[in-house]
Amino acid sequence: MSEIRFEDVTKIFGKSVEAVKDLSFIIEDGEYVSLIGPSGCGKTTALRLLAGSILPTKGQIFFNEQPMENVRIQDRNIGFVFQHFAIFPHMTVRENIAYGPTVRGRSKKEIEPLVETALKSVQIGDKSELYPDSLSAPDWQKTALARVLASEAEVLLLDEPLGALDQKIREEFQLFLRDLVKREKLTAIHVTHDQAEALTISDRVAVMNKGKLIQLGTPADLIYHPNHLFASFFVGESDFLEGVVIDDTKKEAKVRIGQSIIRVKNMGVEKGKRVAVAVRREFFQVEQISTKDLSNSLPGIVIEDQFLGLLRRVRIKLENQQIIEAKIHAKHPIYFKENEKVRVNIEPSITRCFDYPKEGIASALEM
Amino acid sequence: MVKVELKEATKYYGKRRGVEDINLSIDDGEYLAVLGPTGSGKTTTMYLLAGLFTPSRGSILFDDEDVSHIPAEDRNVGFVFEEYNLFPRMTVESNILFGPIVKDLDLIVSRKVSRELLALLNISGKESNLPDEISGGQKQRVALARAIVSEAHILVMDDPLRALDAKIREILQVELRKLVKDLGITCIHATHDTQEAMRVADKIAVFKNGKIVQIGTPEEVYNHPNSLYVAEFLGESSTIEGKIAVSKGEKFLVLSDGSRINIVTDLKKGEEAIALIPSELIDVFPLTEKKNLNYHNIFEATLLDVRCVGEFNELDISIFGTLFKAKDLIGKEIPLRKNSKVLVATDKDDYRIFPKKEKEDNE
Repeated sequence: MSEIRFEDVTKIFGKSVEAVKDLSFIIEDGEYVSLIGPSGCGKTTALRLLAGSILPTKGQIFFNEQPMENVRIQDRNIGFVFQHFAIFPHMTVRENIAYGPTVRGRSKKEIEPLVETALKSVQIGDKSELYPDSLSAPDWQKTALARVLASEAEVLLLDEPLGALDQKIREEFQLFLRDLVKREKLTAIHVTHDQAEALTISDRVAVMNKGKLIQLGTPADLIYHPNHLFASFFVGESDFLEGVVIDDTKKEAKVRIGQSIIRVKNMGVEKGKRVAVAVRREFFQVEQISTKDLSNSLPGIVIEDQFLGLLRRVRIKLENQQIIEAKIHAKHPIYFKENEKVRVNIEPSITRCFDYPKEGIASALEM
Repeated sequence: MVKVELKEATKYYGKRRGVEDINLSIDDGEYLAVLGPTGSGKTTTMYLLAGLFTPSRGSILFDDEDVSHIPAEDRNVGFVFEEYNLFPRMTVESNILFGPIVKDLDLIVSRKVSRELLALLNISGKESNLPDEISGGQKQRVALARAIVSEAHILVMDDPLRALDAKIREILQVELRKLVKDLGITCIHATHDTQEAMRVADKIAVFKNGKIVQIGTPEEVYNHPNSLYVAEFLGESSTIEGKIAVSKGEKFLVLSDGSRINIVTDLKKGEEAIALIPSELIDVFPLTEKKNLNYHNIFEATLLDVRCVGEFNELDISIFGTLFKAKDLIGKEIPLRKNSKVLVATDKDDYRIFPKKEKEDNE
């Protein structure tokens, strides 16, 4: 049983570098949570605070409602897996796995079954007598994971654990890792720079920027219901349409963008206020001007229809001079020509409408 | 401005082949991506162009002039590496103006160009910062400005975005292309990332074991790969083997279980073939849609897993006893459940067909 709670945790390095600021969240027992964000956003600091290798400047961390203030790293019941494989080169796989329980003073009789179970769980039993230098990178990570299991840790901390693996192997390992964590009923916290990895593997994902937690939600929440400008910018790709609310009375608010008026999902906006309407690039529908149903659309001119294999990207200059980019299906039947007049359809239910940031969109999204 | 050519350019490191018989022609103002896995000869090619290596054989021409033996400092080539290599104790502006100072260029003009470049790259205002005070993405922008400021007409970049976070990489890909096109310089950009190559370049040269295996526009290379190697390297795909059959003028791939896939191919009846289909060309529907579909191939299959990985949904499908992977842009509702029966729909020209022998050659 391991529930983790951060309560207003702040970490200041040196005199004034706030690495994380007022972090408050709960990770439930058995949950798989990933931390994502740009370099320097504080995700690794958050992981180190959890591990106990650094202590908060302010605030408290609790494991099962027990404050961790005075609990040393080795007493927190935590296992680690890093990008660079911290396994001992002079020990066999089996000896590496037995290391944890051995230093904890377990007897040989107790250690044996722990190691056997761990070997089986990560599926490297057949390599147990080999030394690390004759193993592949994924097997090093499996050994590191088995070592965590054998030490009976309940919380697994992963810092870019798949960072050194090739893309294809990486994708397979993601599924293996999630399956293992769920099977062994561990609570896992995983730091990664790869958002596809975080979305594939996690129950919930925390987006951080500049030391702050921006949003903690399920992958679907982050994709379909980002609740913050930065979250909708950072996860996937969106464009932000600048406009003014002219009707806030209905479920769908009306926003004036340039000369046009479109309906957007009303997230509690106020009439007369400036807003930034976030639309995912794959949700824009580009239509030729001759198409009939253009009830909620903005006019624009095609700059480029770029073929990218997996998909196509159509860059469009809107009437208000803003350039947006629509991602369309590789098999989309129409190729848009340069300077072709088009309309960009926006389905109100997929929009997210945020207050326009005082400092401007570019500054608000600075990483 | 400059047209760049490599003629049978070859570089050996002792007995080991770096690259062999590279023939390439890059037009003035063209943006070429050199794409391949680690060890395929990308970096060697970049070093040959920059003048950091001389070829063991063959030649390198800039505007028809042989520069094979001209040292790097006299080639007018701007070079950007994966590492930023900025001088840590110099400000951003001093870093950028280092080249013009060494080359004794007019500093007033160079400073003006430097400011313009910084503005184009969205990092105005960082002139007096030290490299440590700016982010990785900003450092690479500075390295780029430094490469271009000394009147370089050719820009050579060796995996310049590799060390950056995915988000910054995406943004810089667009900026890079725009900058190169705005300035009209000839650019050669090595990368291992297919999407990056397609995003930035006019043309792509695909490398394998020190040789070029295909050159073409992104669309040509992606839609008409000339080998299984290129097709597999360029995207996520699934493959299946069978024998070619002909019926009523149409060609089919007949699988070992007797299933027939309608395909387009030059291969003859009876030949053994391997069919590759990119994940994004497989469409998946619920069984109830059967009547509404208009495809050349519609098969019943089992959906094993659906994962949302951001902009795409990834689907694992069991069909013909093998695993097929499908990828679809999110947005469309898919009323599909794990472990349910689904319809897999494809068109005959979605498949890339190669002789089976090629697979054995690859291995």
